[in-house]
Amino acid sequence: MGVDEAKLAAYLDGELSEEERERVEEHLAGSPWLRDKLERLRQEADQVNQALDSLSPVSAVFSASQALKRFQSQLSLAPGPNSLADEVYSRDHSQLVWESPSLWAEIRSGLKSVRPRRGQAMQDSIQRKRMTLVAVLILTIPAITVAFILLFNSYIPPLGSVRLRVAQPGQQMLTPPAAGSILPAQRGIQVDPLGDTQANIEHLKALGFGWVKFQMAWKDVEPIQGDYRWARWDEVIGAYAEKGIYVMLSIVKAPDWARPVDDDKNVEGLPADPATYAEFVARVANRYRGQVQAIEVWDEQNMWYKAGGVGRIDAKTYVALLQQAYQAIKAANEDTIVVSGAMAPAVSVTDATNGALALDDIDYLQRMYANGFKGYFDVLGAYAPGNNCPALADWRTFEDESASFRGPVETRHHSWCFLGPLEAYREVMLANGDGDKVIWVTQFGWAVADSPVPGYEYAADNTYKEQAQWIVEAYRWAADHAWIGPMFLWNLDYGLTAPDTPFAYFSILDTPAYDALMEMSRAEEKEK
Amino acid sequence: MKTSQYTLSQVRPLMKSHQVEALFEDLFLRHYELVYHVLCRLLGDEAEAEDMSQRVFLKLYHNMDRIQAQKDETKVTGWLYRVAVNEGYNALRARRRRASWYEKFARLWPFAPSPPDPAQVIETQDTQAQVRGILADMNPRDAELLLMRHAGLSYKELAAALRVAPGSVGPLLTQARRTFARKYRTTFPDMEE
Repeated sequence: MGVDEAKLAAYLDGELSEEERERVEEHLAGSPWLRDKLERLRQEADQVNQALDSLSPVSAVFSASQALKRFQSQLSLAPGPNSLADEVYSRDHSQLVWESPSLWAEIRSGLKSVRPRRGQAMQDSIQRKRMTLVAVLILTIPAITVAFILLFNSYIPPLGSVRLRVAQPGQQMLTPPAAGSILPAQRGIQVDPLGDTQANIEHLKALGFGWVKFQMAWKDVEPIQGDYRWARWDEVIGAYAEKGIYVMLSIVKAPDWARPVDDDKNVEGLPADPATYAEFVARVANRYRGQVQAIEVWDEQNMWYKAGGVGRIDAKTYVALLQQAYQAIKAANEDTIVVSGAMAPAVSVTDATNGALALDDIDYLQRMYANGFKGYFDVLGAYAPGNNCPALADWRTFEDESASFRGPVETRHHSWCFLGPLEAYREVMLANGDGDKVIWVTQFGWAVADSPVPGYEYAADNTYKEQAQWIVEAYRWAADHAWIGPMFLWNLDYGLTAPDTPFAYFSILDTPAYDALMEMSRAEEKEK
Repeated sequence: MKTSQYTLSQVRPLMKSHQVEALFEDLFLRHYELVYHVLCRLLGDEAEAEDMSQRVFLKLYHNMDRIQAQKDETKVTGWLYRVAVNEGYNALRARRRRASWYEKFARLWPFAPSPPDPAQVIETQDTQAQVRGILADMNPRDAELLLMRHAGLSYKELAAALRVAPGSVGPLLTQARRTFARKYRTTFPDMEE
């Protein structure tokens, strides 16, 4: 066995086992040529080290514990989770502007921690910009108000009529949709791309899932512009496609290089130039031709943590991204189904100083239509979280005496229950002449946990038996509604890959839900 | 479901379990100093390096859900240093782009904004700037590899950081060193013995 350059480098860097080192030394002793080679490597390494050593060393006295204190003080974790949670659930949803001093102080201080220090000149210029913004706002508020009145007048129907119209079969809106009928498989599930691919494929087959959803983080695939890391995705997507499972990729998270210089890098955000994203998704559509059937363009764009920070949520920006992405995907591969980004079901929340943290998803969908949404999606993506509402519960009338999590009952809103957002989106689509388009539920599910971490309190109200029952009911409901396409359950295997995290609360491996879905799939097979 | 209601998702990042907090603090105390030193060298500005280090650890903090599930610590440190070096390196390149922009336009256009800090931006005279310039001109992966190795990461950690097989680290490192040394000798011909 010879000694190559890589071995010599490892020898030089002290990265060999004792045995290997001795072997290299034997070779070196007998070969002047090898010794020359080693000497050259050593010179190169020395040169690099000298050069890097010359870069300014640290002069200040350093203390990691002080740095940690600085970090924590800026993150400001002080108030206990419960106090926060209580504030959250007791608030009145009818208020548009919510000001809870302690929460906002926390969020703001969290944001502040990453702002680079600025010189006085920059501060001044920021101050000037702020004042200009205030002036512009004062001048435009009347116009915005008028726009709002027009927007809402044109759409909000009396609540009673919403249910009636949705429930009645046989009307124009229930025409079998084009995109839904092309692909018969109606059930999908989100899977960890880092999980055990072969085992997961077996699970999907056993459970009758025809679709798999992966979240593809753009920033992980193209961390540096033009430098792509496809290897792992080639492997995973190839494996599922080979077994005839349809793949939907939700492509999210812009890399820092693509983002506006001034947005909040603590959170995810849209690219500064939609063309950079369009180019990326087109590459995906082209690369995975015949393997990836659908691409979801972004998600939760109505939330500050996916829109580049507080005050940056803007339906117009998103629609511009979608339009370019749609055209680019279709140009690359016209068979790829373009799914519009699922919004997060939410209530509008505005911070008086910095702007919106969240926009009500129904309102946001309206704004998307107002900004040229129509014609730039094949199917509408939707998230339909169930929290602690049963699958078919009506959010307007849902009651549960025993529930410890009171949000859905005490602060009624469509976003608490599974059917809420879906029926509301359907109404908006009908009002905009998109009755023949289908809604794909790209994420839904129920969490179960004995003592969930804060933020997931509703999971304590749910049992595994309920989880199983509600998932089956949701899929049966979907099968009866032609305007609903594939529904992607969140999730299969995060219980294995991310145990002890909230992701695991939704995982159906080794739960009654798994058995119930297997049962469902078998029954369907028999019918055929 | 990642989020059920807006408010939960906002507060969730701020509320981690005690176990996760403890793990985070441990990682912070063990790795912060090295991250800070690497960024100091790379950026040549302590204040900027400090802010950037804090930002790097904020990223770690936001990813603790996944980090916690990762049993192999090499992968965690690999990830951490990759993020740090990547941030620092991007800042270096951005600085260089700005510098060349100013050089091009400042003379032609009287209203061009003055560079934020001329001493830092148009560094052409001093050695440190030359070394940073060489790094900024290199293939990013090579530059990052050199910086991480210089910070003392093992081959195993480097492999995890670059997501390559451990066996590939030796050849990649050799290649990167050779490229750097060649550029270095061109820049400083008198240093060649």
